[in-house]
Amino acid sequence: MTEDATSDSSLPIPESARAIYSSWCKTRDDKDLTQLIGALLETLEVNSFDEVYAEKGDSTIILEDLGIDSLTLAEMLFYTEDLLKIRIPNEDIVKIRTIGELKSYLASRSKELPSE
Amino acid sequence: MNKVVISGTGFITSIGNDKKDVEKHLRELKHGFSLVDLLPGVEGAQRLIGRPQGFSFPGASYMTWRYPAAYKLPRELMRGLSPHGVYATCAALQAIEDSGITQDELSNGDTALFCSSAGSPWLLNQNLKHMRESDAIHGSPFGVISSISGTLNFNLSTYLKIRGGNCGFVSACSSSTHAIGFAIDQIRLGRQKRVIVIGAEEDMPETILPFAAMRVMADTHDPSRGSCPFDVERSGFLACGGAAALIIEDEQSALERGTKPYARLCGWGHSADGYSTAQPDPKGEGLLRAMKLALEDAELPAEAIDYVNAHATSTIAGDAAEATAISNLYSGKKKLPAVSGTKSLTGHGLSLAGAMETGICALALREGFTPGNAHLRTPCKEAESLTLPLTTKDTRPSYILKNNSGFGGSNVSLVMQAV
Repeated sequence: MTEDATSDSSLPIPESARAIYSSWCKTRDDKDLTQLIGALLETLEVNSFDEVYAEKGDSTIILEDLGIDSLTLAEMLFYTEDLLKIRIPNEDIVKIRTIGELKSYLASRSKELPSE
Repeated sequence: MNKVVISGTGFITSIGNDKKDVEKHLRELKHGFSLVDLLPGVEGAQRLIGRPQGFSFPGASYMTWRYPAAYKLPRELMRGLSPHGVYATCAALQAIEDSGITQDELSNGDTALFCSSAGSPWLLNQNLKHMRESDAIHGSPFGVISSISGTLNFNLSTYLKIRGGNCGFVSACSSSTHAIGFAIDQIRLGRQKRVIVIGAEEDMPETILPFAAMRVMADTHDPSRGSCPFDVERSGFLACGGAAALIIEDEQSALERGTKPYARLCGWGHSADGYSTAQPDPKGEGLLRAMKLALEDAELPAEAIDYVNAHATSTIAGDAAEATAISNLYSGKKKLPAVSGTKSLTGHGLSLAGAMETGICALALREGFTPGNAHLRTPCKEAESLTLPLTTKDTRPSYILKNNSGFGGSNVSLVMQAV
């Protein structure tokens, strides 16, 4: 008997998040973008998003209100870069504090995205 | 000086993921090797290795990894680990539970963490591959802390909330034995009450196959010929991954908590050959000096030792040098100890070797057995004067001398005592 040691470097972004992303690529709809951010955070076991966002909306402060650390934010941006196939430079990251700012930023970068 | 004991053990090894299974394999001389396609489709990369059961690491993302259900590792920990970090965490949790250390004791500054591993060349490679594929514009934010050689210290000190010393030891195959030696000194001097020592390595191609290029690995699919220390037919070592964790503690502190120690650590010594980057001094003079220093530190004559747990990787040069060193230590002596190499069962775990084998010696001293030499048929000429039992005996040694040697002729010997 032999075993395999595979070397798959792809990220396990769940199908549900990929489906929301596809939908947003077509619609560029604000609700789809909010849902996409929620789905990516859920992948990282940040389960407070829906409740906090319902209360604070786009002014939700990512680190403070969602109770996540900066490494989790870095991890989320890593997934976002991978899914959207864009680069988010450091100088842009420091300007993003709220969910609204993140959404505006991603929407502004949407010109680079394929329109499926 | 404070007396030093081993008060807890944890094993994730090719011969078992807990102390009971490890002991069973040692008593029955049952090896833990299986044939693995380290690089699927590459014939020469089909190798016998010692891989712990119950784990799988199919991709670079921790979200795809699986480990035994008895452990519940939080995502905040997993994201910074490499595969050997998962092994190390499981072994550490076992050892902590075994010793009965409380969270307060872990975090009051009296507990240090000494780790040894070569890091994760596999994950480093995976992360670089990802960066290359993305035009080097992005990669995992955990790429560094999960893969460089301090990864066990970064992750486990945070997870276990360690507030004492936190450092790593790098001397190749004697790394975690060095960690134990320096832990003994820290406790003797009263600088720490206890040290968690962890040795861990990966069983991935990036860690293992470069040794084949050095021509130091056995190239056979027959386990009994693959790892056969001191045998005339030995041709190199078989590698293994896994982790071992030991709680090295001030004896008084362990007894006050009501923990029954496995063994006392009563001496250690280390030396360098000053001879070659990779080959041992064929006369074994460096290792002989380390053994003598350890015995001197323990204030014991060589005749007090009942069992020598040899480094014995099954390489041609290494076993010959060690057999010569042990033969010289006992030249002209009337009482000879039993000598065996347990890598014939476990495989060679590189940085893991010292902690794993010191754990094996701790089990031998507490449970009362002397490990035999699996796979030995005809001893090589350098080992002819040694007592090399072919089976494990139900005899509790009073004192054990334990050797490890690493690249650069870095030798460490420990003296352990039954309590």
